Amino acid sequence: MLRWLSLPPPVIAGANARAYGMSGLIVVAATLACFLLNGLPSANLALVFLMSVIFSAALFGTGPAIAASILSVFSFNYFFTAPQFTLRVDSREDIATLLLFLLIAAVTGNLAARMRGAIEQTNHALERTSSLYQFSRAMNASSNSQEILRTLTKRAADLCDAPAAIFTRDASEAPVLAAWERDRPGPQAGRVGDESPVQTVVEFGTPRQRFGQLVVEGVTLKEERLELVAALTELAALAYERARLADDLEQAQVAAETERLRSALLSSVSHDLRTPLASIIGGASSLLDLEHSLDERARRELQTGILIEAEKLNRYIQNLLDMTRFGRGDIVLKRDWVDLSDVVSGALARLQRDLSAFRVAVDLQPDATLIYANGAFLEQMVVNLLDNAARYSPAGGVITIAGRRQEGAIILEVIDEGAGVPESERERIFNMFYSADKGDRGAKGIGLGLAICRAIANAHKGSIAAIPGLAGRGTCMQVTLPAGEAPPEEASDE
Amino acid sequence: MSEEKAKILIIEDEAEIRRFLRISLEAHGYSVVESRLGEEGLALCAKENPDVMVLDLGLPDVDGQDVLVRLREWSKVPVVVLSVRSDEQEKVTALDAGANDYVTKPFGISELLARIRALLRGAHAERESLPQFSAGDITIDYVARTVSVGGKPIHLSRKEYKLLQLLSRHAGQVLTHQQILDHVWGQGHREDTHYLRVLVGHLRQKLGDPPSAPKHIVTEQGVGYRFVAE
Repeated sequence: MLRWLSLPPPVIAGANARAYGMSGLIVVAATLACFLLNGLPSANLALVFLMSVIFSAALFGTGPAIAASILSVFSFNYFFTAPQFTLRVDSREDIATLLLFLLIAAVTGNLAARMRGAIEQTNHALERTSSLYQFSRAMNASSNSQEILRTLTKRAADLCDAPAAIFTRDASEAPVLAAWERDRPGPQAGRVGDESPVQTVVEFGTPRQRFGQLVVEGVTLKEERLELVAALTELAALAYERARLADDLEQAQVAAETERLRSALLSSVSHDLRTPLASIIGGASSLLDLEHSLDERARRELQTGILIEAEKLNRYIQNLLDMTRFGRGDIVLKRDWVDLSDVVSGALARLQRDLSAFRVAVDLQPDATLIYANGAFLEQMVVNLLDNAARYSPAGGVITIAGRRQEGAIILEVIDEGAGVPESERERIFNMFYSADKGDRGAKGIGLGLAICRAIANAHKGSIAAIPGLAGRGTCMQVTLPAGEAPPEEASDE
Repeated sequence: MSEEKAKILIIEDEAEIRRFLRISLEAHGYSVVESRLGEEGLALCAKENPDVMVLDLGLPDVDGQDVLVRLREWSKVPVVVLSVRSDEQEKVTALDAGANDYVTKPFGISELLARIRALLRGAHAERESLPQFSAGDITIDYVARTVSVGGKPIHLSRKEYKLLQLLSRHAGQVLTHQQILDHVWGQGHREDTHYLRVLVGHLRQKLGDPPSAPKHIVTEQGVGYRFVAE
């Protein structure tokens, strides 16, 4: 029995008593009509019966049409040929009419039934095309390979009204259950290729590549439905291939980006770790080897140099650690009330030796000192900003640290008198490993420090930006941080 | 420094750091005993009865924090822990577990020497009964409860005085936010660091201690405060 898509059930000979009943009713109606028309020549009445046969053929196909013909002959004979109400026929004319009627009924009935079949087939083809088209659109809209597999299994299960599943092959060609229709029990992986009679297996693949099999459990599909399922599977396989290619491409891009970052990290690590190490090893070995030829001043200079470089190394390692902590993106800030002047004094103390060549001015407004933040991270941020300012400042230049309150936010600025940052670079300098090797003193630094500043500012739900410094000279690194809700003032205990 | 050499126990697994500590401490007139491991260090502490212990928190056999806890079950020897910068919480935990102070690795020897000196002074418990204290131009008269800066008396609120008294009694030693809050505000004010910041700000102002480069009331970021007298 054919019963697929959304077509109304077509009628096959011998299959539907209802169709025969309807044909019989049509003949009864024709008989009643002929009673009304009684008096016309019997040949005309035969035409009315003929019409009932054609209707039956068009509506219900060949079988009911033949039944209608035979019934019509008997009815015609019994009611309308002389002698009436008998099956006997006296007139030769009536015999001819009956015979002709049978002949014409057979031919027209058959023609009408074939016409019906043709219409039915056209409808089937239309439905099938539209179904494939819709499925194909759904496939094209999906770029997710798993979604494609799910859509296909669902569709196949709906069409066959049976559990369906897709098995793909893993690296060792073993079948893996990749998708199944959720609402029905999934088949067992072990049963693939099983010669079970109640299972339909359709190859899932393209001419270029086999992916696996679609298995419909518990039914053997008739040819037409199998063909449709196979067509859907083929469409899905093409979409699946395309989605997999897109996945591969994306993965390759992510891998390339990771690789690029990794090599940038490696080159910056080797540069920024080796440079201070070179000074330390050089200074220490000079102290050891030239012990007697160095005067007190030279010795002291080398010793101080070793300390400064070691501290630089320590800061860089701290930055690397912070970067990995922030890079994971799961950092939870432990916040507390922090005095900004403590943050600044801590940073200045840590950079004491590096900042000795510059003049440092601190201008913190009294209402801009308390902030709800992570003090250690803020201090690291100020250290990085000062380090950056020192790197790009001319010797003897002024580095200003300013803090003020503005609409519930604390604005902290570190201003230098260096070459400034061109407008096109002002956003990029906060990228990891951006390097602006245009500093006045030719220092080649890496952008890790500023990237960490941005990460710290962001972690506090604040922001950082590079703007031109005072009177358009140099750079002003401007950090904006939410100040936090201060508790009410404590009662005086004077 | 006392007549006899003060004895310092170093528990640290890095040989190079032990060597640099031994050379420097001996050069400053201390006698030094060393241990590479926590268990061994505890045993050595019982046997040698040192005046100060220098304890690394990252030991190969026992966690430094556990060493502290076990040590405090039977000994009051002052302990300086060696910690790493990136973890303030670790320092606070160690201080809560009974450590007296810390230095952050990498550190300069002068920093560690200052800590050890402060602890040795504290251990002799002389300051606890001193009627007076002075650092720079600050003079505190504990008996009369007066404070003067450069010879001029200043007026402190009750809490400001309490804070200054606590810090100066432990000059050179770190005090955690918690220790200060408990002492000045009493128990139940663990979250009131905002008031503490404000109070320190006022006290610095009255003492003429510049907030962006304080000389006396120094902030240990994320840990607490330290009164520096030297």
